[in-house]
Amino acid sequence: MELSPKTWFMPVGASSIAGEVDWLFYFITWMSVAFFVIVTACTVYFLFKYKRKPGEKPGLTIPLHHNTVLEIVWTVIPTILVFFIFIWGFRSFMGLFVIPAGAEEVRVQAAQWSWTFRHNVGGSGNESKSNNLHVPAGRPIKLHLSSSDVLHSLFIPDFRVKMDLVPNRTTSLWFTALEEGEYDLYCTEYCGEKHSRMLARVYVMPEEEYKQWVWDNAKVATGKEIYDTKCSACHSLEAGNSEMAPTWHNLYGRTETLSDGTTIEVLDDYIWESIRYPHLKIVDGFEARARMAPFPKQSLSDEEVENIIGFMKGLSDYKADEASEDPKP
Amino acid sequence: MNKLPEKHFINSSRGIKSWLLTMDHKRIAILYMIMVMSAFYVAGIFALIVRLELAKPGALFFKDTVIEKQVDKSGAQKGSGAAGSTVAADEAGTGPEPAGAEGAGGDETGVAVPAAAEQTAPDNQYKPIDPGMSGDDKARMAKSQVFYNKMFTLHGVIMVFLFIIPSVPAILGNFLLPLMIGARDVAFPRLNLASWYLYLIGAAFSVFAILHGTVDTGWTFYAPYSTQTGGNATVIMITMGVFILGFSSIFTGLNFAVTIHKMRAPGIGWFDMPLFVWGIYATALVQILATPVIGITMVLLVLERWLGIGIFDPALGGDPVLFQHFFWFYSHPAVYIMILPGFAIINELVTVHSRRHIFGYKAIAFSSVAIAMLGFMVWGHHMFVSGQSEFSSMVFSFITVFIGIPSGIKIFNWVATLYKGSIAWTTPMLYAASFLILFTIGGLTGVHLGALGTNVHLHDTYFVVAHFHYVMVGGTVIAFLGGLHHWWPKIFGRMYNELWAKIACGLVFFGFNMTFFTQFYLGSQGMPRRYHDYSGMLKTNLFESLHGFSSWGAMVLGLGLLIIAIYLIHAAFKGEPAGDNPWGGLSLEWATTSPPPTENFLVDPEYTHGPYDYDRVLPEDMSSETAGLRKV
Ligand code: HEM
Ligand SMILES: [Cu+2]
Ligand SMILES: [Cu+2]
Repeated sequence: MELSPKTWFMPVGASSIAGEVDWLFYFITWMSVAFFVIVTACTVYFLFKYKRKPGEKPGLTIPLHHNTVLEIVWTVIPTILVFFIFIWGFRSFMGLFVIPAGAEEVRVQAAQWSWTFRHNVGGSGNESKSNNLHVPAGRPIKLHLSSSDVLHSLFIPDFRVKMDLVPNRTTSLWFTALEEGEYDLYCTEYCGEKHSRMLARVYVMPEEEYKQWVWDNAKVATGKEIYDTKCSACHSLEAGNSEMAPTWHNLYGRTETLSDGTTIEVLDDYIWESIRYPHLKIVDGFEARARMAPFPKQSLSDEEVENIIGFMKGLSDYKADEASEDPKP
Repeated sequence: MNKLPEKHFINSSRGIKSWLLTMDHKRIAILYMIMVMSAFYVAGIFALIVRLELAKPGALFFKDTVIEKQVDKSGAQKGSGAAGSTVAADEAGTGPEPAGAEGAGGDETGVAVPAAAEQTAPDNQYKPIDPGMSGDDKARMAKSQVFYNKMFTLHGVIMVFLFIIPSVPAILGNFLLPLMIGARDVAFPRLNLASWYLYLIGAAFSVFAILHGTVDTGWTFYAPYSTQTGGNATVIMITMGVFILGFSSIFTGLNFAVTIHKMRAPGIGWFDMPLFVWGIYATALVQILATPVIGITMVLLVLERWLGIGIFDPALGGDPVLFQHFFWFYSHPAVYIMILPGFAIINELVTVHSRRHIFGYKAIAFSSVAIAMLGFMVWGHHMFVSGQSEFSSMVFSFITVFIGIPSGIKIFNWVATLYKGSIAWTTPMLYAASFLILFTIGGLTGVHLGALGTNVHLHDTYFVVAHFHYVMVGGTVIAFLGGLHHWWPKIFGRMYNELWAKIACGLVFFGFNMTFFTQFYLGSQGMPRRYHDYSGMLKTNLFESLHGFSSWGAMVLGLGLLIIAIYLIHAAFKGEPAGDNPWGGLSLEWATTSPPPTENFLVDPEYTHGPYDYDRVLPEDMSSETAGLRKV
């Protein structure tokens, strides 16, 4: 049952489990057609056959109140059928949940209203991020699913897989894509205004091409990498400011006193400003030091700034929900 | 020839007060009819709006509205002081939405910054979200999306809570139940009136929510979206509305259960009742036992929103899947509150109009009760992909596939009832036949959804939309329309125009199939439900032709329903007097005048033959003096 049955109602089956799901689907469908034809044919036949002619006076009808044999037959046959369907359905369901060893892992983060897919880049600790899902053909892929706000659900019709993404929980899903190509990926759990725009594509590519893609796509440096190459000369990660600059240890969320005597809470806004226009606000005590050079967009992209901020958060005990002045609207 | 009786429940007293303070179950049924049918047509208009939007890809509504340019909020915030830094969000294509930012704001401690989704490296190959849209277009799109989400939510909420749950029990059940068991009224007439007032209050809360703002949660109110979206007042209002409507439903159920136990006329045993009564009885049991759960759930939701008690919201340590358990623990039994009364009606239509004794009385009676009980054990089949344990999914799937059996048995019994009947092609009979065909499709596609492997693919797609409309519309609404046509002459003593009735029945049948059969295919192909737009997908062209066809079907269906409203209302006031027993029915409601007198029977009804004894009692015997009724 590897191959998909010839498909006319379902979309193409492009994953390893699609075949079994489709067989079950078509089995139930044909069984339904059979029952439907029986019920409809009898109903319509009786309607015509026993139609009361206009003006005809009805007489007494047959005293047929029930028929035990008939009733047993039409109870037992469907019961056997649905039991069989249940077993079959359960088998294919377990196929969806028993994840083969050695599956390539992709972390999926859903948020209103977009998808982020993260791949590990060959042991470097780096990750490759994308709004679309890229996978190699012929190899099991495991998706780790999580949501950062409300419920979402990841659905790839051509692979016959679907799983909800629940905030504060991880769920998972696996498949092996059989054929190279481009497939739709939808959000199927209603998540608000742009639910219908929470779309992505799945690109199934040959193994080699996939490896290359992951590598190329990882170009955006991680916060740690940027720190190592561009910031570590002056900023330390240990407690206590260095001579040159404030430490990043517990920086995020800290309240700093500026050279003009005012104070400021170090959150996204201030960090953005300090990277792009470092001279505008200087922390008290560092006025006399060498000025930090500004990093315009050309030398540090927006993504990279965000990555730095993410990195800083990791170094800080600050919890967003404890702060009353969360900068977000 | 036929004449209305001189005095009957409609003209027995006059004035608006005599209606609003009435304790007569028949008048309360009419009060319910006015409200519930209005709800049906209003929700139908919302459905047509939804279908219109889906007729073509892209946003259809608000295309040319001029909207103030949206302020780029998250951009403004990040850029403050850092002028010139445009935010990645725009490149990723997601419009900066306050709700999104808020949702993301809750969880900023981890390294996996949630907002990161917006800051992902721009993926140049494919940008599904509003590709290349100007700010104005985006704003229009947003408005259109919000409007759409509101429309399908209102359609679902009104259809479920204001229309279909009260429809058959509160209108036909109220009117017929006492008549069928030879009682003068229900057990608690005051409670009956109170349930109508509760319905009014619940409806008022809902209308307030509709006028006041946006309720866009879908009729399922899934947390945590429902604890975040819209204004507090709006969502609290509509959940309170559902809470109050629940009590209205409990009152009705309680009243009916007691009435059936205690008020049967002498000589009428449990198995001498028309099966309509059995159906209403099973429904009443579910109403009493299940509805409190939705009440509790709604209260928890309100408390969650209002006081942040953290039962469902994961940001507060709650569990959103728990909400789904609570919700479906009511709402699955509730689908039997919706369909059992439909079954109940069909029993009467197939027997009276084919003049045949019902086939398998006890099988039908017990299968109703079996469905009602089993219905409490399958709620988890709505949650196979919610992250619940695979073991629970297995158990729920097992029970689910078997719950189809009693429904199947009923279908076979009804078809067998037609065998060797004397079938009159009346409008009610045509509805009964439509029911047999349409509900069979609805029931069988339930097997696709009950089996685990196929459920995963079909869940939350248009396949589900098609399935439940085949059950709810093809089943309950068709049966309800059949019932209205069957008992309209009893209720108002007047007949509608049979030709128009048959034309409308045909339009409803074909329009319905055009609208919803298409959706089985749409769903199998993967089209998700609750989607405002399907542009920018690989299958947009296929979806466009299917959705387009479906929308045309909805117009035909809408036309049919409109015609029905016109001729039925006309008939209620101006129709030909119908006579007491136009169809020659044997159950007790036909043994009194049409419309019945306020006290239901002018003489005490006495049980002389069963409701389905068409093999013993000739239609000639049928008149109010002799049928099932002896002068005392
Ligand atoms: C008059 C004919 C009807 C038409 C044309 C119609 C059409 C629709 C459409 C287009 C949707 C949106 C599907 C989606 O986006 O997921 C929908 C949803 C729905 N309909 Fe109907 N419908 C009709 C009657 C009914 C009736 C009688 C009921 C009674 C139970 C009903 C219950 C629902 C429910 C519960 C939803 C789901 C709403 C949600 O997703 O929150 N509909 N209908
Ligand atoms: Cu979504
Ligand atoms: Cu259910």
